[in-house]
Amino acid sequence: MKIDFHCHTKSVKQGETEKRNIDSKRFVEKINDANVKIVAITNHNDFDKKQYEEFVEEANESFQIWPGIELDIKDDETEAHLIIISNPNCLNEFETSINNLIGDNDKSTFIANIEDVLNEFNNKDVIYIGHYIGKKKMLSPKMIELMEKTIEEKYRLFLEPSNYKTLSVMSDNGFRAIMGSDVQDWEKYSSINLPELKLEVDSFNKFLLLAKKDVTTINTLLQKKEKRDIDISIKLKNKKVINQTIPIYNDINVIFGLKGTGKSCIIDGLCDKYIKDGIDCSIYRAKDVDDTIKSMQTINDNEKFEVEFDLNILSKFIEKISKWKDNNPTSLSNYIEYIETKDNNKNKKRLGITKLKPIKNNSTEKYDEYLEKRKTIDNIINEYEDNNLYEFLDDNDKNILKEINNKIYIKYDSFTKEEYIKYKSIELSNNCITKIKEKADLLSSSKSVPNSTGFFEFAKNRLTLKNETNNILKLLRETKKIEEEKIGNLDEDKEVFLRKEYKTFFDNETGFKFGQTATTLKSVLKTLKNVNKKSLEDVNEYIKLFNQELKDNNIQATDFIGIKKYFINNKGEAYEPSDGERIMLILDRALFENKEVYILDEPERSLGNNFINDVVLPRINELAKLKKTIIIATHNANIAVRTLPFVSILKEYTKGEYKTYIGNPFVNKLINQDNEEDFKNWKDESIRVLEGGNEAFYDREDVYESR
Amino acid sequence: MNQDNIINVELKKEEDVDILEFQFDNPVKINLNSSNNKDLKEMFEILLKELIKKKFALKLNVQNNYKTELYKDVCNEYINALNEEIKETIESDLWKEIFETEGEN
Repeated sequence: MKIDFHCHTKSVKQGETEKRNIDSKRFVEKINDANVKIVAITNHNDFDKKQYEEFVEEANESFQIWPGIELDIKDDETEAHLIIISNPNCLNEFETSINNLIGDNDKSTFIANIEDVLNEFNNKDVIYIGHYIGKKKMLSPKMIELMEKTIEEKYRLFLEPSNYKTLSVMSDNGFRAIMGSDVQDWEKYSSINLPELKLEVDSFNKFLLLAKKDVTTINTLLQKKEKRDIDISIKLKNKKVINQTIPIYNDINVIFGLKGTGKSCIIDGLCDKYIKDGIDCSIYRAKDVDDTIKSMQTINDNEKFEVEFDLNILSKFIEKISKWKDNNPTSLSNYIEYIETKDNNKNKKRLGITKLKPIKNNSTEKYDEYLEKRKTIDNIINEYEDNNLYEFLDDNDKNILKEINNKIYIKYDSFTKEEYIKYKSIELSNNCITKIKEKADLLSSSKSVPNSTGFFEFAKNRLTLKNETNNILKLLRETKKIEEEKIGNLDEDKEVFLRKEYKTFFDNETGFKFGQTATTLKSVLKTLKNVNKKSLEDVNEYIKLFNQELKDNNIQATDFIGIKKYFINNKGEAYEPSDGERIMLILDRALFENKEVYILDEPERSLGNNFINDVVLPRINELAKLKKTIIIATHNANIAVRTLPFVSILKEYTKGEYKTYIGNPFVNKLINQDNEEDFKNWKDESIRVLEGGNEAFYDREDVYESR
Repeated sequence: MNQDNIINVELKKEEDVDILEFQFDNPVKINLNSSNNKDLKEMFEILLKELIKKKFALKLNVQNNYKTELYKDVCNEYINALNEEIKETIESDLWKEIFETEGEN
């Protein structure tokens, strides 16, 4: 939930911008638009109870408003700003304290002594937020020391740096740090980046308990999140199998521990369980990146069957050409016999049918087309019936659809039959003519006129061969298809895609994987080109060679489909990602898949902190807000700590025994799953395991001068 | 059909053999006294090839001193039938599809 603990509604001091002034209605609109759930009004040296109450009334519980003030304070060396926010239930008491402190002083020039402030608010239900690094009028170390000494409940003291970078360094180093809008211009309020509370709090008291890490409060808040206790079988490296129940929240769950403590075994157990339960997971394992990249680039034989190429023509051609032969000319002796014998029988001369030539028959193309369409609609009707595709239709619609499908079937059936009758009747007539001629020839000792010289059929056969080889060469030359799948982002404007290129073999196709070697296909293609070129001349030797080559190499039509896979950038240029980039891509892909559960094993491996901070962390937090389950096994402090996981699982391996501690950063405790009395401090363990121990941690702190 | 679109076919006697000669650029001779179909097939191939270059019809000419009436009638019948089939071929949809659209193959 978004909070703003440093918010101005009034321009009070001299030089303060008028754009801070806002009325109740606009204030409520602005806060609601920014989806802020708790806002503290902290004007300079001023607490306007009347305005506060008016704003609360206008807000109508759509968000919480806490009363506060930003005081000018000083000690004998430094002047600073200190925000004090009160429990809204102690409004009158807060107002009295402010009046006691400021009285009739000019608010514009008022400055309180830090000791007076601490005395006035001592034991009052307030929190303190002091300006800190990067902010004007920041508290001096001396002032902080005094406050830490004076304020009994130290969790009531927070520091406010000027930016989020410092805030995260402070948080990582155990400071209570918080930031507010310090709004200068209400027009720009919605664009201000405000902090979010990981756990939802509905009152000032709850916020304090959270700050104090009160176990009951935190557990109550945690229970508001959906949790699943997952029973998994863990196969340890020593081959022992143990069963464990792991609490997993619809949020961030972190498994950490030194190397060899069995983190990956838990990840494997969880993966198995989710997959077994049919839950859609995105799984990333740093150790599998190379295999993942390899499998993306690997070409499977099955893939070529998935591409929608019309290879029917090639398959049919291959089948047809194996049976192809020339149509022979009618022998001249038939003509000689006809002329020689035509006057042998007067009766035959009167039998005009013996002089007839066959009727030219059209091809069966139309008949084949209608037959195919009739088959298609017949299949569709059967599919409807077999798969009960009518189930969502009421009886009326079902009958209409059935009737329409039947109408289509009947039409194609009738066309098919018409074409069949046309074709067959001509064939039958020609057969009759031939048979009658044969009979008449037999009875009259004469020869009828031959049906044809054979040239038309010879030419037609050769022309068909020419036409079909034309079509096949065109198919092989032109058929290609490109599919692209986004793999991931390397940075904001550098996307990487996997391009899958399909192409039929026509030339030297470099980089493509075909069903046969390039030499074989090249040779077959050369022969096919010769068949085409010579199809109207002496084609027979090439047909023979073509068939031989197909047979010798057991060549199928699909062998001519080649596949090439390679990575490209967003400009469409081939791109070979480096080892580090491959990891970034596969992780990015895993994080941006739309799944219910994200399981990440060592997402930090081989990655720089920039990528972790700029891409991985924001995305993990975003997924958590989308109520996704994220399970991360990590050695990285940025991931394990800064995501504030709902569950932290610490794995330990000592003296041949594997231990699992479960807890979270909110209660700051990790409890042994098998022994409740064995527990560890979450912060200490995080520092030990993730930061290399206290010494290393504080050394770094000193080097960075962050203290 | 003008003179350019005619291919002459001559029936003649050569060394006592009855010959039907198709006078393409490279003439093809058919031995009418032989039962071999090979020459006819070769003639068909050349006929088809020549037809691609230009459309034509065949015209039968009989050598002046040629006497065998039987072969005159046979060749007349045959060339008439062949001309019909040539016409049918070049007017077919298949012919048009190939030679009106054929490009780079």
